[in-house]
Amino acid sequence: MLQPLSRVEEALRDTLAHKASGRALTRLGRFFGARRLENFIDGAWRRALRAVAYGARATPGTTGDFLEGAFSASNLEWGVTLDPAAPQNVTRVSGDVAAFTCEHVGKLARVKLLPASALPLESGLPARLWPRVSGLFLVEALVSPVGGASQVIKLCPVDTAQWRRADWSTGAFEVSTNALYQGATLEILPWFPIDSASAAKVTVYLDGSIVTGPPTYLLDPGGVDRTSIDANLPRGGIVMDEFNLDGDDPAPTPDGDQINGPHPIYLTGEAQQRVSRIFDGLLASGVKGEIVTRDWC
Amino acid sequence: MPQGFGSNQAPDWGFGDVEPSPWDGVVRSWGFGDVAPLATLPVSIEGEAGQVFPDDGGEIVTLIAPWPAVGPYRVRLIASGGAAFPTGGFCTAPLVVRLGAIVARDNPQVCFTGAARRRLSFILPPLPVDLYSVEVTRNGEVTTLFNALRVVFRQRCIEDYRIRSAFPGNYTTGPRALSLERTTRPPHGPLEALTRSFGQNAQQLAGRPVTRLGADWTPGDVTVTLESALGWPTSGAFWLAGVRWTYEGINTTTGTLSDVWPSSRQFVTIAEGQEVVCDASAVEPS
Repeated sequence: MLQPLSRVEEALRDTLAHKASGRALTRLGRFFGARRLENFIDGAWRRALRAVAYGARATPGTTGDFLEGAFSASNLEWGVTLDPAAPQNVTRVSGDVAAFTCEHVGKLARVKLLPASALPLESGLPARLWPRVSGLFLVEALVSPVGGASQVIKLCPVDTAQWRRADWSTGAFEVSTNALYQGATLEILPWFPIDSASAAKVTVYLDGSIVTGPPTYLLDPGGVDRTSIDANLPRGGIVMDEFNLDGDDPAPTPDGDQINGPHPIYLTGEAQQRVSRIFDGLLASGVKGEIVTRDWC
Repeated sequence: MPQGFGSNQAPDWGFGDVEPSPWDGVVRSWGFGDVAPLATLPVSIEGEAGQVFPDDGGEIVTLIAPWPAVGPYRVRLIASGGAAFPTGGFCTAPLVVRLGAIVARDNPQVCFTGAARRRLSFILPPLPVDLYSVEVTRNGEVTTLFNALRVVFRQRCIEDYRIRSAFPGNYTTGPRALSLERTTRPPHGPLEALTRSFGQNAQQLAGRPVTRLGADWTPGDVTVTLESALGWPTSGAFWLAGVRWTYEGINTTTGTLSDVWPSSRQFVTIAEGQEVVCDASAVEPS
């Protein structure tokens, strides 16, 4: 037996939203009305599908679970240190991934740490990697950026009494005094929701690079030369003249070039719309949901 | 990027190309219709990296490459000490997989690819536990995958014993309980081989990986040594001595599970040879 799972177990798992993988997971998603995008990995899509399938519609928790799950593979992580003397500040461990920039400000973040209460670690004891995970903070500002990048971010730009007391030194989030266990992980989420109650609308801003599709758009006025608007404007989709109805001589090529264009019209930018449709379906009737991609800087 | 005949971008590989070929960096184009030497083929074994095979044989191994012809090929396995298997000539599959079906051949020592000339399959014979190089020969040309195939001790199969227990006591069915199993000898004898085959199929259909404890476990040890960790996940859980244990790491070569933790504290030594069952239901999807 070269695999741990028997065929019966595999067949059973293919029917379960929380255990299926690969094509079975995609098929299950279709049954629940959530068509999977190719760029969602199994783990992320499974989390999203669980929210869609088993979550209560029109509840903030379910919509949050869906967004958390669907985009979990795009979360950014840093090794950081927490300073009880300046609890609002989160400092990047030098030598870790790139420094903080304006792209990270205005996003939601959480801190995962090994608190003093979980120490000493007993060898062999099965434990969660991070025994303590904080709630969500908002990344408010960069501290002393040099060349647009900073080693420190602020979870609150002003020094308040509340923050002075929440100094990572007591209770469940007490940071160990042992230098070996002082490191923590900062996780920044790539999406940010705005609930406009008066407009009955929930807008989720998403990193532009996550859900992308081939560009298709209409220029205004129609038929204008795109380079007359901007020399760097990308080419859009085009309806291919398969039958040379215009009678061009020589006839245009029936197939578009996928790199240089013209890009056939079937290359639509549908990816983002599909996520929007699923998200919209999770909200209460009458509440409009939309996902908007944006550059954060 | 176009790389066909007449392309103005390297590598061309077409007839008359002036670029050295990517195969060896020296020879110019093999030319239109030419067949690249066997030794230059990028050959790999189908399956996950680091996968291991049992020592009692029977597993189908598939070599993936753009094979120049359907066949015939001869495949043999070279042990780390240099011994070739089977000894006395080119080994190979007593059966071959062709066009998706296993077919018997008049000459059991030759293998053929499928019609797409992509997959060359053979069936492993019983082999000593070792790391093997795979040597493929055709028309005197040879290509070798060095240290490409690791053979470890076989899994046990509870279903074997259940089937054997249905036979009358005087039938030579082989061991009828896990504790009676021999350590090294592969199954042999018609009834033993048949029941083993049926048992393995039943196990693959609805069973779980089963093995024996390879060494005594004493309280406080954070590792458990198995007879074989074939088919076990890289981390997970198992049942031993009536208790569920978890583990965090595995070494399939030595059959060692690391960072083990029993669900209830153990105060006595567990003797070698005890049944160990992988808790497959605990395997989490990726």
